[in-house]
Amino acid sequence: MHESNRLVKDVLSSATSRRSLIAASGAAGVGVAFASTNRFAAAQEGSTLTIAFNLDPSTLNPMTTTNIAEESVAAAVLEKLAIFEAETLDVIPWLAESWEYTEPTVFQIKLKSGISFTNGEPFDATAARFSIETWAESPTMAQSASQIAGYSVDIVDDLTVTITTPNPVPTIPSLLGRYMYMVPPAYYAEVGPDAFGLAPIGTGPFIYESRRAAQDVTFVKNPDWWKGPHTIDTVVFRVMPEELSRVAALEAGEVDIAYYLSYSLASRLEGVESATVHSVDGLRKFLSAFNAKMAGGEPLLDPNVRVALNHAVDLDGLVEFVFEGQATRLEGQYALPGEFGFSETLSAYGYDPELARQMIADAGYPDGFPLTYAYTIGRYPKDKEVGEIISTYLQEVGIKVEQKPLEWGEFDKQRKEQTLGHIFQVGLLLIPDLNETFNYMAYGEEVRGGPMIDWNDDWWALFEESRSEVDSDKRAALYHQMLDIDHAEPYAIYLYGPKDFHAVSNRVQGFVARKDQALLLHDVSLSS
Amino acid sequence: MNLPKYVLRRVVQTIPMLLFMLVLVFSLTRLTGDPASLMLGDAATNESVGELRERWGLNDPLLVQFWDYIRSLLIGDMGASLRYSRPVADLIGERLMASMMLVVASVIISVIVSVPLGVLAARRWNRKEDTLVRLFVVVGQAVPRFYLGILLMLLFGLRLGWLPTSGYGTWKHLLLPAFTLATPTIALLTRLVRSSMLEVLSADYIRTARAKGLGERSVVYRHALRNALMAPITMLAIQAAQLVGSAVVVEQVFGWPGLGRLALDAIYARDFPLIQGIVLILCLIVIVTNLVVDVSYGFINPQASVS
Repeated sequence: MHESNRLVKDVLSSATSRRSLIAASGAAGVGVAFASTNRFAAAQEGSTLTIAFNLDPSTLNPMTTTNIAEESVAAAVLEKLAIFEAETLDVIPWLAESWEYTEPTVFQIKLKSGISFTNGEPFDATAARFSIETWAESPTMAQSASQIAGYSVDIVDDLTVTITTPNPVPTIPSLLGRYMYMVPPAYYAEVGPDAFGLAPIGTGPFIYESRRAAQDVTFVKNPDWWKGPHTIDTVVFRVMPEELSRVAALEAGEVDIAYYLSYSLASRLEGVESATVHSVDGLRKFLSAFNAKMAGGEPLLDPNVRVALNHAVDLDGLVEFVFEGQATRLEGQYALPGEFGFSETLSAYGYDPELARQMIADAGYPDGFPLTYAYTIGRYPKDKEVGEIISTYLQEVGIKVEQKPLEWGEFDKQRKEQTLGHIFQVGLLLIPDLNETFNYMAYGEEVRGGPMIDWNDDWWALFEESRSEVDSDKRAALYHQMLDIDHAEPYAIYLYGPKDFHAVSNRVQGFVARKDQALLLHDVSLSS
Repeated sequence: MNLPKYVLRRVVQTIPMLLFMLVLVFSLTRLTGDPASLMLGDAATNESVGELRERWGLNDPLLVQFWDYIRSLLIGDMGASLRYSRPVADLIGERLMASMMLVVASVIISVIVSVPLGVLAARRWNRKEDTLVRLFVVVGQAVPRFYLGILLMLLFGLRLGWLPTSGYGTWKHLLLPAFTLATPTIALLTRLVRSSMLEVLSADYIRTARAKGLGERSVVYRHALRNALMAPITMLAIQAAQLVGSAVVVEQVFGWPGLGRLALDAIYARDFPLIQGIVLILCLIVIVTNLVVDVSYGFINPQASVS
């Protein structure tokens, strides 16, 4: 059969990577193994939802992790003031009833009434203030919390708090949707952040029950959930780091959801009757950012050279051949479609190596110039392949590329020391509001790792203005102007945003693949 | 030299070895990567990274850090994991059992399968059985464990449904990972048993035994096999120690909650105390295994006793 042939071919090919071998063998297995007769189908018993998950969470305290996967496990128990709508990414109230800017610098949040934490503590203004302050003071959150630097949280009445900031901060609703988990103040203060991460208590649909190291985390239904008891009695997150194992377990009926898969494996499940593959445009966007100020990076100080490098890369080819079409190219800007600030008027530069060579020659480098290009191995899907291919594209237009493939820990270290390379390839998963991306890019010298480059004065003025513009339309207009500048004088080679894939057993209803990669079980149910 | 004295001498010899190993691990792990910056993610500020490093004592001079570590070790404290914020000893304790179960099961499977196979191949030298065994040996040593594991999982877990695809808990969960881990060892041991048996079977004393009129079973199993097992046992000891390391791949594929996966996570997160703790425990396992094997020589072959 076709899959088997491909497998044999892959095995014989010396270029086969471990990952593709696994995918190929998975494909062969999936192809022959539809009629599973597995007797270990724990997932079929009672009202238990079993989720095959890719990592063993180091903590279940979302105040001390920015890892969206760890947060997703914690989200069975803990809820935020707001969430992002799965498709549109609009921020919608959750534990908050409503919010408004009563003054440009005063953000007032009204809370839903009649909600308690499962240990009996009331969810009220005191809990909200404690939670917001705990988030803002957490060292893990320092960069995001810097947006409300100098803040104060005040209690107006039992169900109303205000966040007051020295300057207007338009992005507070996004912060509520991304970060503002509500924790019970007395319990949290008593046990501290580390112990809270071992046994969290929240207002959510489930209650933490138990955990077996590197095996699973179990939650049971919260009978008093404010939205009414969940229809599922027990939720088990099973730790299965190997994605093929997640797929096999799903097919064998041992789990109900195989979370986070690559396209090559997910696509093989499309013919399997018992499961459905959900795909969604992810929010992680990939860039190759410029460290022009590093010794030897002088050619990159010329904006035309940076534009030329964008012309040198065949984005459509990358998307088609590396991601089998399952990625969205960036349209000559930082934003992905759907992100706040995305500009409809910009489009990708277009692959034109001739033009790129010409522009580099016109900039005074007819024979090209040498650069180092750093990328991660195994940190992101296909990162190594993409790094090698982009290096080749750059070589095609006369750049003498020294490749620097690095394991993530070493990559991170060199980024911090700013010795990484003239160009480095990263994937950013940030709030779907360009403010955070601009923040990341602009503070190159302050936040380690940002590209070291001199910023255009006009751009900087627009950025300052946007940071205190509370009116969404005006702020979006400012972002469009900034993106125009970033298009003419790019600070990165704009790459792509890959799609995310999850496979779900057909007995699961109401699963939604979310753009922000969070897993929310609010509306999930099991058919009998 | 008597046995207790020998064991004592070996134990004393391990102390400088362990110390050297700790110096090596301590300095090597600190050459790449910063745990604080890795934990705080893409958007962390220098200030928050600095604070965390300070809290973890990573800003002290290396010698001071090392001395503190050794001092805690001497009172039985392996420190706390940076990533999990929990005592290293607890984390290792949770995983050690699973790892040991996997390795021990693999060793048992290796012995049970490889000895009869090796003997069979030697007795049927250059015949069909020998060829088949040699084929198995080549394939068993050539197929990477992760790939074999996946194939076994797809066959027994998915297609036949006899065993769970992955996980931990019952003996059924243990079978696939243990067999996967054992296969290359089985192949290696089978080859060794076969070649030692061939050598021994052509020795003079075997001819003498046969000339005395002993039965073939007695010749093969009582006279030949005992002598032929010396090399395989040495190899098994080396293999057993290596299995702990090789288990990482198998643990990953089968979601087995062992030490190997913990080590891998710790290395990626640059969780220094946890890496040190795991390496220390692994070294102790290797040392103890080697000691047990050296002592066991004496039982199998009195001529090779520890004296």
